[in-house]
Amino acid sequence: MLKSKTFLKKTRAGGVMKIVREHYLRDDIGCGASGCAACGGAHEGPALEPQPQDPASSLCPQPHYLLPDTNVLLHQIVSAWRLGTWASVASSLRLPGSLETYVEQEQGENANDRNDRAIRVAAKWYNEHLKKMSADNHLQVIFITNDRKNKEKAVEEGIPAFTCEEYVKSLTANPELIDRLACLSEEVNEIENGKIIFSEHLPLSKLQQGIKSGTYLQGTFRASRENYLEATVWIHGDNEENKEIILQGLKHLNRAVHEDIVAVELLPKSQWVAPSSVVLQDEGQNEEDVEKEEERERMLKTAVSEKMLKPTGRVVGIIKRNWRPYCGMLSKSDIKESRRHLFTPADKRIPRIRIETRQASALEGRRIIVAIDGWPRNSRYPNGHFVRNLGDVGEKETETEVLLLEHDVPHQPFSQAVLSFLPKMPWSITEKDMKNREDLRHLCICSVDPPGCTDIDDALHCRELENGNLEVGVHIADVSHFIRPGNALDQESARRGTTVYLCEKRIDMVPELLSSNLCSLKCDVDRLAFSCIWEMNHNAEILKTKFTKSVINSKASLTYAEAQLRIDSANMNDDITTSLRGLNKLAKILKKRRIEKGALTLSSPEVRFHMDSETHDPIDLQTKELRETNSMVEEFMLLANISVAKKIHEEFSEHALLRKHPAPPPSNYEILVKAARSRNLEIKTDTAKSLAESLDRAESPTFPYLNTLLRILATRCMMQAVYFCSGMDNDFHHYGLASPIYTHFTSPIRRYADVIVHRLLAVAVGADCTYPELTDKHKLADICKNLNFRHKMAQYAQRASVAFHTQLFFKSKGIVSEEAYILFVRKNAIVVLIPKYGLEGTVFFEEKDKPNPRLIYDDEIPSLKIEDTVFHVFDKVKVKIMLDSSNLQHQKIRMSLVEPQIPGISIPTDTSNTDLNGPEKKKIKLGK
Amino acid sequence: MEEEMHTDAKIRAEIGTGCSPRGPGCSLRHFACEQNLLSRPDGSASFLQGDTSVLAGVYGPAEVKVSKEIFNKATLEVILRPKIGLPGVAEKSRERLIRNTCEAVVLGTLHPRTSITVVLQVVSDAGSLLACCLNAACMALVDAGVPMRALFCGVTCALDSDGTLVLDPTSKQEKEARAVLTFALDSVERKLLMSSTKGLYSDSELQQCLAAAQAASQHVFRFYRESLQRRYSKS
Repeated sequence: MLKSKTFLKKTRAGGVMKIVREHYLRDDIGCGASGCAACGGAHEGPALEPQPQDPASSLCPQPHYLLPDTNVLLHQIVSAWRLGTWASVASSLRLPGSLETYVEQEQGENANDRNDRAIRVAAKWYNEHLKKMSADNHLQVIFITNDRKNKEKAVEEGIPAFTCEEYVKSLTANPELIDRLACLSEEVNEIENGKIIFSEHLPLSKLQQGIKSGTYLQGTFRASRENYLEATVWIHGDNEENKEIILQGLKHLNRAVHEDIVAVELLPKSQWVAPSSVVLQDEGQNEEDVEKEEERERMLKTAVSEKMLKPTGRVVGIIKRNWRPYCGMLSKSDIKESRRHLFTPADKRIPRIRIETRQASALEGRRIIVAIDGWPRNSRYPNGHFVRNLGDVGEKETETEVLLLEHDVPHQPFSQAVLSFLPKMPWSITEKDMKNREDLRHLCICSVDPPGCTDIDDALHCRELENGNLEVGVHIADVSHFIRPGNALDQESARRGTTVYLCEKRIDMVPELLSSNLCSLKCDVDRLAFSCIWEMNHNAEILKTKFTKSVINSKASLTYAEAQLRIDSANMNDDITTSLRGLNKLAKILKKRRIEKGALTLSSPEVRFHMDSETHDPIDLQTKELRETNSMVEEFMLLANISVAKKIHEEFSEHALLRKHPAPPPSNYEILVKAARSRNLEIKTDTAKSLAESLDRAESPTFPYLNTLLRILATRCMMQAVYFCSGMDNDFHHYGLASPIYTHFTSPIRRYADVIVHRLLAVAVGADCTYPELTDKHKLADICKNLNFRHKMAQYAQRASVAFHTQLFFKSKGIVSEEAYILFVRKNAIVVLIPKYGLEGTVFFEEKDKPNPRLIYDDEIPSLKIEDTVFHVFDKVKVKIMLDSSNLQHQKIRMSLVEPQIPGISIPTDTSNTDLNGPEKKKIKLGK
Repeated sequence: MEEEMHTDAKIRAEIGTGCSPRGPGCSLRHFACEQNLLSRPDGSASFLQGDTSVLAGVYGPAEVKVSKEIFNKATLEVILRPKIGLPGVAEKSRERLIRNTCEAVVLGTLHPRTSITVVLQVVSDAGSLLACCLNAACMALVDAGVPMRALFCGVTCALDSDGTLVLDPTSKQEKEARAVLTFALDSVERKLLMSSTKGLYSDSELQQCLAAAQAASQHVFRFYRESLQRRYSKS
């Protein structure tokens, strides 16, 4: 034993604990070189190669091992695995022969110096040890450190030492490795001119003091998408005023990057500004543009009225960086042979990053990943290094990868640890599984899903009971039977939160074995289910509700179309068809009753791509079609969700996982009401019911599409529905469904929230045992937070995927002219919707290099007058759609006005003018 | 035990103290004890081991707070006050050790729903403090007339770097020692009631220390007896 330490500690309960710490040195750690006689088999785990392959270093031609300093290792971890000779990493983490290489901290020596000395001692020991082992092959250990003093000392002690850069540069065989070196701020300083742009960040201790005393505020930094010189900081805590602070100007932003946690200081009221409405993109390529920058900043501060001023501040320090690797593209430097280039991230909120690379020409036109290393005070841009090449721009795989990465969707294959918790195949239902389970295999159950669906999580049945009532059952895949709380599989699904459906790909929440096989309620196989069974009379009034775990055997998996066909055809009278007819009849009553209560029927243009089965290229676009059977399934799912929500809230009033949809503030409806008024229609928005009714009434005989447009607008006014823990909130109302309580129960294969709800319900009906985390409302609130985030991100990723496929579609299709309706009118643009493709885009009427047309915007109606033509909301126009590839990073669909014709604005109908620098700049955003 | 013990050599008649000239590192220091020197407590004792001195007072059996009441036995409480300052974590830990020792011998079941409180005040600490506290507590309990199954005493041993055993070490010896072991032993079976150790020692060293402590306990108990005899024969 080396030393022991004894001390007494008070426990939280007031007791006293005696703690004895003993420190031993191991004598069983070998050097790791395979075939070392002295260490024998003492070494386990990865071994050093007996003959290190020659990395062809000009500095040390003999075969050698590398011993990197821990700092080097930390900085270069990304590049480390690329180098064949880094095998010694594993053994350097636990110093070999620890009896000989143990170093005690000397008096007056700080921990860092001690560690440095320990590594030097280890390097020395290695060299002597290897010499002993084989006198003839001159194996050497090269010490790699970036610490100048450490290197000097090592050389003094006779250890061959180099800095990381020196060594990597000497590797003649792999010249591209130098790019991957994380650049250190030190080296950059030498090259850079000394002009300091930013003020210094305060140290953490000072920040904490300032935050405590209230001079500084802590918040999350959110850069603006439109204007790179502007950002907002969301202040943490419940402080109502000063919730959001505006930062303007490069100096006040002070090197903060989107999502960082920062400390800000409020500026005096005289310096407060209003958020500018200018769109600014960082286009400067040069370092010396700082003066120009200041000019631009002044431009932001245009005259504004007193009341528009918002609290304004400046960043004084960074509390936590939230840097991640960013996707984007290289903007090659104008100077030939230059190795330093700017990288433009795909996310406009991230500043451009300076990287050093020799392979710029190879990386041009590719999507790459870059990591930020630091942001020195004298640099206009942060410094970073190249990490990975994703592939060519516009390639389907590359773009999919980019949108998954950018939306933080976990999409890696499931790890071995996760897969180890899957049931062993071949799987069958055992006696143990049947405990607490009802056998419902005799029932005539069927599932109705969209075509091509492999993760079937719901099935239905309906039969007449002897007393004349109807028994209706909703059977949901029993995913919680397979995903046990706390294991790796559970943690991974909780992290993913939801399955993400992209146009041509599905990112599963649970491994495929479960999602497409064991949990999928396929026909003619026994499957475990969680059933919700009601006894109803013919008026669809619930007389009895029962929840039970069960075993079912689905008799048919139908598509919506097939189910519809069965219901409609008069000559089919088998069990499944009668069951479907019964369900359909009840669903209609349920829907009517729900709408009477004030549930909203909203609409959003949904598109579906017809894919080429070979190339997976979209061949055609189509808006989704709705059948009676869609609403039949939906109706019963809603009913099941509401019944389950009531049950779990009854049983767990403090920790039920529910879903709520808050009523939107009245101001959200302004756009809708104004738009309807312009068509002489009245929309009432005081309650959900009156909104639903007035939407139903808003019909125009000459304009049948108007109603859909109004519903699309109404959807935009809504708030986001969120998961929450019942113990943390007291407003449970679901506005859209007009239900006092709601949860998600019916899709556990693709939503983690449903898994938790299944567990809660299972405990409530005594079918499963509980576990501590389930009844911890803070843990549950954390889960809800993650789920809400993942759902939002999944939605964004889906939209981005649709947008990308729309681009592909129009690329192949060329230029088309289509009819469109105006959805919104803006100060300098109109937003239009093309019903044929469910496509939405913005038509801009202003461009910076061109003389601006005369624009008169009226906020009240709202309308926009361009020259002599007036545009109102819902006006029908004709637009030309084309793909704009002028910006490779953000390819977009451009729309230009064809009808009505405005001289100088619209393009003539008959010319095939594809000049992208035409007088109108038109951009498109999709499926918002 | 080979070491020569001198505890019984002289007993000061008036206040019932004994002393022993310190042998060559292995004998106990001189002992002294005075009982019934405080008027408020039901029993009190002051115990001296060399320059280490502890004053003890026992209250009880007395009324107990309802919250601490135990229905079938007396609630035993030990309070250890340091010489200066407020009791800290180290005192709390010692208190628990002493209470556990007392609980093992006090016949608490004879006085259910009462409290017995032992208050120990460190007067001076010159090594073997825990042992001295135990001895003072025992004498004070005897003075208070609390029924006990047996008497108990505390003995501290120190092992220095070359393995020599020192009984009843001074604070200097304790500091230099490789290991310090304190045992509490009962007077009837000479069995171990409590042990508290610190430092490095081997299995055989522990046995050796225990044997030495058992031998030394004989002398401590003999000192108890004589000191009490003096007191009661006088009155």
